[in-house]
Amino acid sequence: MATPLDSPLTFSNVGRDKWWRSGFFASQTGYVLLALVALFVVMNFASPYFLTEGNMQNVAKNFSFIAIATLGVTFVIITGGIDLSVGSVMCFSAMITSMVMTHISTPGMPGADWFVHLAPDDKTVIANMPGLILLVSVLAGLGVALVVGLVNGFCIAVLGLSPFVTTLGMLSIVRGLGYVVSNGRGSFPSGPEANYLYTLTSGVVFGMPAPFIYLVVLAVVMAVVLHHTGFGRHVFAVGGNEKAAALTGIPVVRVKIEIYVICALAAGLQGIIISGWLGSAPANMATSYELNVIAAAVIGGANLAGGAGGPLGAIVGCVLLEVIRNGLVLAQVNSYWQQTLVGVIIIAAVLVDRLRSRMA
Amino acid sequence: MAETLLELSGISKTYPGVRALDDVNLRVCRGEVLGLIGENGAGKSTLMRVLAGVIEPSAGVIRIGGNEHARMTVTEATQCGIAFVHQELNLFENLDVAANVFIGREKLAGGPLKLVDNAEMRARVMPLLERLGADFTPTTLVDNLSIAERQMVEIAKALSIDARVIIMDEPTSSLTISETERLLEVIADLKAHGISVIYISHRLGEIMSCADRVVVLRDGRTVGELARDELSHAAMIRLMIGRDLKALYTPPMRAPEPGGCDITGVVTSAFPDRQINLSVRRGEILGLAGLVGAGRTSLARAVFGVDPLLGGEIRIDNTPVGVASPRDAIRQGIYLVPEDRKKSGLVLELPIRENVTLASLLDHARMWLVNSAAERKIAKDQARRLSIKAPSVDIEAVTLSGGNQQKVVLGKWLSMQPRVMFFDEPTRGIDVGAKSEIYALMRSLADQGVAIVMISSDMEEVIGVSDRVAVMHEGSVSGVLERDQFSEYNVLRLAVGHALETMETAAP
Repeated sequence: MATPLDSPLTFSNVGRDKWWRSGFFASQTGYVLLALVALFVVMNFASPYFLTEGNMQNVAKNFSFIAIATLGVTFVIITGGIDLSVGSVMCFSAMITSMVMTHISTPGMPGADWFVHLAPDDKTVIANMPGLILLVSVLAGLGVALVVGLVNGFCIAVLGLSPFVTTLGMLSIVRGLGYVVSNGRGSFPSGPEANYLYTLTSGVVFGMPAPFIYLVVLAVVMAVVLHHTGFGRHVFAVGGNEKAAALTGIPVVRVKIEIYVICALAAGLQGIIISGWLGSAPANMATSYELNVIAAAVIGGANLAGGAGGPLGAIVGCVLLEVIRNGLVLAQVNSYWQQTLVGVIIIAAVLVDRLRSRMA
Repeated sequence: MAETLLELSGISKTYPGVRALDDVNLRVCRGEVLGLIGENGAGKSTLMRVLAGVIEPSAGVIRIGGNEHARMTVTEATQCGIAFVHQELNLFENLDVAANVFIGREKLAGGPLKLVDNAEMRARVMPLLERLGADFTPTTLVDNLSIAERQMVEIAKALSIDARVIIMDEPTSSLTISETERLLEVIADLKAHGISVIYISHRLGEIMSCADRVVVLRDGRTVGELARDELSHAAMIRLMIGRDLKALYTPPMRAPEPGGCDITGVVTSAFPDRQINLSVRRGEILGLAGLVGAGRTSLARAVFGVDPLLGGEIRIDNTPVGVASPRDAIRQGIYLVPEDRKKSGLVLELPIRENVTLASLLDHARMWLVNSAAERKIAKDQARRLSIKAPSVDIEAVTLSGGNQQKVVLGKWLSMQPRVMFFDEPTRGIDVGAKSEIYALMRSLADQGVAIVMISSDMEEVIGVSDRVAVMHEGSVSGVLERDQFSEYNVLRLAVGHALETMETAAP
């Protein structure tokens, strides 16, 4: 078998696969996208209202509400981990953001005079520096998400606990903390800059809902990070073979902590955006969203065993779930069917992938 | 011994685009040990899987005890008395020995509940273990057994179904020298009881010592058969590769230079009460021999920063180096090619290109962005230098053969600047041709001034490739042999903890 170094080699097994059997079109993301296109066509005939601008905006806004968190959880899934705490983090970050905003916008509260002063009429509250309140409160919300991510990452990467158990515990801890800090009532943003928050989260720019624009930007960033940076390569390597990654000098512990932090930050941001649109952060906000988020990632082709996944798949998964929900509403189907159908789609998407790899 | 037990005739197996087996004939007599050899990909495993009923042949007949089968199922094969001791042992680590032996055919106590009769199963397994000379009991958890002991469990399982033919696929690849000898004794005992063994191995020395007859496969065809009195290494190798293999040893181009790696008083976590002293010069290949579990891999892991260093000092070119993690070691130019390339060497789902550049990635990154052009160039250079046989550097590592996968692991390190390289069992499970390429590569690295430590349990390799051989025994170095002292006898003596008879030149 020892061929001389310069001898030309030919391979009979190369170039035999049809284009549709290799690359993107053969991936789970590819045919879920195909299914999505088919669904759009069907819905267009089924309901004249479906492709209207209003409905499309509605769909875009709704899937953006879970898609940013899905991007985050996709990082975790690529490394072979799981994060069940995203729903709780969404709620807690949103709650902290609005509580901090309320606190520092209320003259007389400790520290509040750095941010606001009273107008001469003694009633109107005026911000000392426009935007500062919003910035500080959003950073506070993301800050608690960061802490949750660090704790998750530390327990999993350093202490070696199982991701499932760690984040299941964190789901409960963070949700519980949310009830504690708000006394079970939740909170809502108030003060002179609450309107900024509302505008930034439920506004429409060039006909597109603001959350959708954030999503697109973050997805592009994520695609670049995953495929064109050393960090991204390390994420795939850790998910593909953690042992080999460690023996290659990849800082496995650091990579793992980083992806749990990224996931928690994405969930925190998502929570803040949702609360801006809702106008409040109720204590039961985003309950069980972690399941939708994980379902969307998996439908889009992220492999729970690690090693595969990407931003496009995450988004495609979210869009599919939302279009089905929207379609069922337009078709006036009992909305309780939605959950059943989502389950069927999760299994079907993974099943098709299984059948394909068995045929190949 | 002429009584034919089973016969495979005209067996072919085609996969789309590949002819794995082409008109293969194989006969096994009662109570004989049949050696089955061939390079990787020659079709040995495929043929045995046909016999064991795992895969269906495209053409051909299997004759067993007068019955003809066009194909077999696993159940039929078992009923015909064919047992398979797989290369990767198929045991349940969470169950005890008796449960493993009777898995799938548990003995049931009477009664409507169909409870499993553990006492009965244990009572039946006990005599089998005694016969095999095993020193564990039916209630031992398989998790607590060594690989050699697990193999005994597999053989006990074969005996428990009254197997007439036991297929052993590379049974010694993970065994120590003494365990291998024990296995060969067991095989002789099986043979004496009229049980036939089909013995697949790359280790020709073992084939020489146990086989009554050897069948050689090449490219899916039977290319020759050697009777007991025709057996020789040269004859087997010539049939396997269709040409003569040059002598293994190529002397270094230049004398070993001063400098290199000095390991003094190093204590590893595997043997906290032993110290290791070892030196390897630049330009030298130091063979590191010893029984499995003698602490060779632990030493490599400690020097590479995977396991903590409990004491001692590592110097490279007389400068002490700190290795708290693999990253530190890599920064110092100490690289490790690990033992199990699939589990620890490669990320199988990633393409060759990304595997090769995984360690050096950030050196070619600007503003954290990977320079794809540079990455591709590095991967292509390594693929060319190592003659990795693949259509492009973009195909996944999982699709490559063992030898080519190993070359990808090497390419990863060679794309950087090695100073000291540890090779842990670099040619395990690799075919003869690729082996000699890897030896040539190690030699050329040494000639470029790299200090090379080659851990190997393959005696031919240790003696044939090394410039010096250090032998480890229970956690420390029991002796170092110069080339004129090389002999299997000397290595073995040191490996089991004896001193050399005379430290002068021993008879070869």
